[in-house]
Amino acid sequence: MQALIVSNVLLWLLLIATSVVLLGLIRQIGVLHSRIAPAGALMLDKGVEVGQPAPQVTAADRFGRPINIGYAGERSTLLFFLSPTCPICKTLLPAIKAISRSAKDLDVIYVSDGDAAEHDKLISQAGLEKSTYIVSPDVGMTYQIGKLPYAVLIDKAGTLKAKGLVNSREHLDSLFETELLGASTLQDYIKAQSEAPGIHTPS
Amino acid sequence: MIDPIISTSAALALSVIFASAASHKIRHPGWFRRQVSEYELMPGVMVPTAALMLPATELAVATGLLWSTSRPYAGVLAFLLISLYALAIAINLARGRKDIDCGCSGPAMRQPLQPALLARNGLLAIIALGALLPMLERPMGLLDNFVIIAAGTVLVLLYTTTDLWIANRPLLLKLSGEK
Repeated sequence: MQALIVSNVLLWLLLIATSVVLLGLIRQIGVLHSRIAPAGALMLDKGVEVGQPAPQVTAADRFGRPINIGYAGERSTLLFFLSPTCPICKTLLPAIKAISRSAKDLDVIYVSDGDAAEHDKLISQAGLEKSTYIVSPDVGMTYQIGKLPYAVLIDKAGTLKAKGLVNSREHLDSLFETELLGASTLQDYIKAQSEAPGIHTPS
Repeated sequence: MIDPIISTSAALALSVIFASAASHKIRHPGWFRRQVSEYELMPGVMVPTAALMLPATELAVATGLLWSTSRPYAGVLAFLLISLYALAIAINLARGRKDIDCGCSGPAMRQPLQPALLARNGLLAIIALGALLPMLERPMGLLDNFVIIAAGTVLVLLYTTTDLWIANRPLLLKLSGEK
């Protein structure tokens, strides 16, 4: 009788554990689905080409301090163009913050324009009080940003290393990947691969 | 007549499920009002009243299921509510309105109407029937109470899993291009 009771209790506990694992698995599938959501149609890019010197522009951040963009310096720069009215921009903010924390020698600059009150709300919601946040149409016009959320990576020498529409963490990471692989676009990378068959490791 | 373990664990699980459903609706009243009007089943003037009454009823059911004296009434109410939701979904499916949000699990988890939701409500109705049926009188020991809580927990976990599973299905169909 004792053995039966112990076995019964143990089986129940194991069944609960199995249900928890199952729930966790299904949740992960849901998260995966949201991560591979459609990324938006590709578009012809305007503005400066990747690999060229980035346009130099100076704009004031929300405290009025002048911020230089596109100049050679000691650190690389990631420009993140966003708008308080764009929901995907908001979902990307945690990823941008994580990159800004983990990447050394990288300044993250948030760029937007529009109503200051809405920006203040977004900044307090996302906890961006200490970040460099520019509210000015100048930067977006200089870089000819047509769609949001958009990111531009500029290296220490002031060269535009990568840019593109970013709809997910994967897109953001791919900006940094281009610097690692030494190819500015996927097309360039595939071309380089086909010219040098057998080499698959990024240098 | 069924064993009290079956009836009590079903009532416990149903109570948690209803309490969680009511909490979504109470925390986001604006969202739920839109949801009710999106189903297009009643004149617009009745929508705010219905959007208040439904979570209130759910909460009453969740509380009523916990005590054995009120359990039969709460069980009947739960069964009626589940059937009502199933009917609302079935009517809109028959109208061909598959694109509206189900509104089943709060604003964070949107999912379109689909026949699988009817099957889910069918399962819930079976659980409600389990809570409804008259109990056998027998003394309850420590092990019985343990089994009741364990079975209730497993039921709630499996229900949540099924819900997520159903919600993921349209996403998968979209990915493989079948919809």
